[in-house]
Amino acid sequence: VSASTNYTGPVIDASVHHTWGAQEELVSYMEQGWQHYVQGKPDSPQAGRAIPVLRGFPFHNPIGTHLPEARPANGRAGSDLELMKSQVLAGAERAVLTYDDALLAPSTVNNYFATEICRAVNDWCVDRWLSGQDDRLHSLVLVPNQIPSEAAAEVRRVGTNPRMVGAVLGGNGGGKAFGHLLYHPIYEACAELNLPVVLHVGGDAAYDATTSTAPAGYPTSFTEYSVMSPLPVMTHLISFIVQGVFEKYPDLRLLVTGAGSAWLPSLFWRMDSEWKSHRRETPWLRLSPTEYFRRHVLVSTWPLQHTLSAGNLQNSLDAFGGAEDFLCYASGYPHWNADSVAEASSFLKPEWHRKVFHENAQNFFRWPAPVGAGTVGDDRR
Amino acid sequence: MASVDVGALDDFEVGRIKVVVANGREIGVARSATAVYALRNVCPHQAGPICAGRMLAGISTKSPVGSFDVEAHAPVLACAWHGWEFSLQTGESTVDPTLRVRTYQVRVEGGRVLIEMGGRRVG
Repeated sequence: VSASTNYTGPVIDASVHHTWGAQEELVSYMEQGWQHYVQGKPDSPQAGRAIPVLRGFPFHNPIGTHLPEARPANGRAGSDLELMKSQVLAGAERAVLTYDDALLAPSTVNNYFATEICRAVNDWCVDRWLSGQDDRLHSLVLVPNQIPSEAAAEVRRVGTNPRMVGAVLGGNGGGKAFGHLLYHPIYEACAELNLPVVLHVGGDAAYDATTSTAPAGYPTSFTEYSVMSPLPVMTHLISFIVQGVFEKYPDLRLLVTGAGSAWLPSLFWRMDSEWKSHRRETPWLRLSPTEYFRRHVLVSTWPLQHTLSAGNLQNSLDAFGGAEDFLCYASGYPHWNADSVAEASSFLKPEWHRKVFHENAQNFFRWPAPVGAGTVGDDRR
Repeated sequence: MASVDVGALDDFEVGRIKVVVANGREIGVARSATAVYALRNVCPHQAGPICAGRMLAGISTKSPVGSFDVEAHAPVLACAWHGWEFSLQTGESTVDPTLRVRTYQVRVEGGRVLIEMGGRRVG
């Protein structure tokens, strides 16, 4: 067990959550007809009674979903760039903006509206966050995964923006684990544009998701949801590997964020064991699940498992091995369980820090050399 | 090296494994359309009776996702307990290069199957 020290080197934050201040801000990026649909006709009884674009989240955190200090005077936590700069970006060389409840949009029950919301979210994101506001900021194409052909088209439409550095799956609109053949057009588009796929926790807990966030019965409390939130992520990760996504798209990378990491050892021990016995069910898997994981997947530290001592977490990760190569730092700001660099580094071995806080994300997103060590461009390709 | 006569070739059905006792050891004799293989009836995974498993064509390493190609010229034995597969030619595991079943050289002479049992190596 290595002694805890706080990391002070360069930082890439792989998951900062950004959002709009008020719904009107997002709606202004929709087609006019959809704007009328949301707002109601001005001369109708519905005037001024807008339809909520997103239905919210079924589970309510009793101590608040976001850090109280992250809420600006006007608007929602994660909507104010200046506040974000002062609270989380001060020490960051780059950050990936990974949305907040916009992540739920892809599973919106009206599939045409789901697609339009995603398009609007992406245009809003590029316009309000990625157009010179702060050169450290990057983000992800929110894909309307309910209709994979539309999702692939959206990847090709927005993913060419050099500050869009991946495609995020969000709310599960297709009712299948994300490795399913149904979703492969999305990964084909990502592979074509050399964009990683990002799997963010919570997408199966959306009101409209046709999957469940817990397989043995729907949770009744935020506590249950939160404890079990890695379960759908595990399902999707298993599915990605077993369905052969990484065989089919050999250069595709996957970032898993919001689910922590301490569950990885037991999952992969089991997966490797099953693979050895059941190869005839998935003969296209030439490698063990662990080998696919190590070649293709990066996992964010957020939310950190606050074990009784740092050594407990380190020992757990060491039992699987290679944590310094598959972990990357994410703050998760402004969520209630956000982790600062100081806190995260105090739980991780100092010899892992440089890779986890900087190099792994830099390599994963294929960014050029860091500021001060060469030219910083915004072209990942 | 001593040859042990384990029976007539006709006693061994193509595509099946038959366990015989030779020099006090249980040996599985597997006959394909073109060759006869012999290996010890002990799986290196958990010491199960590997020869109670099935003889199969090897999985092709070139199968595209969704397809299932086999390599008929590289037969394997799938252990009855956990399904781990081992090359009949070399005894090597297809999933763990550290594991190998003990194999023996086989000759067919005058319609008889002869196994070379002289080595002390234990698989």
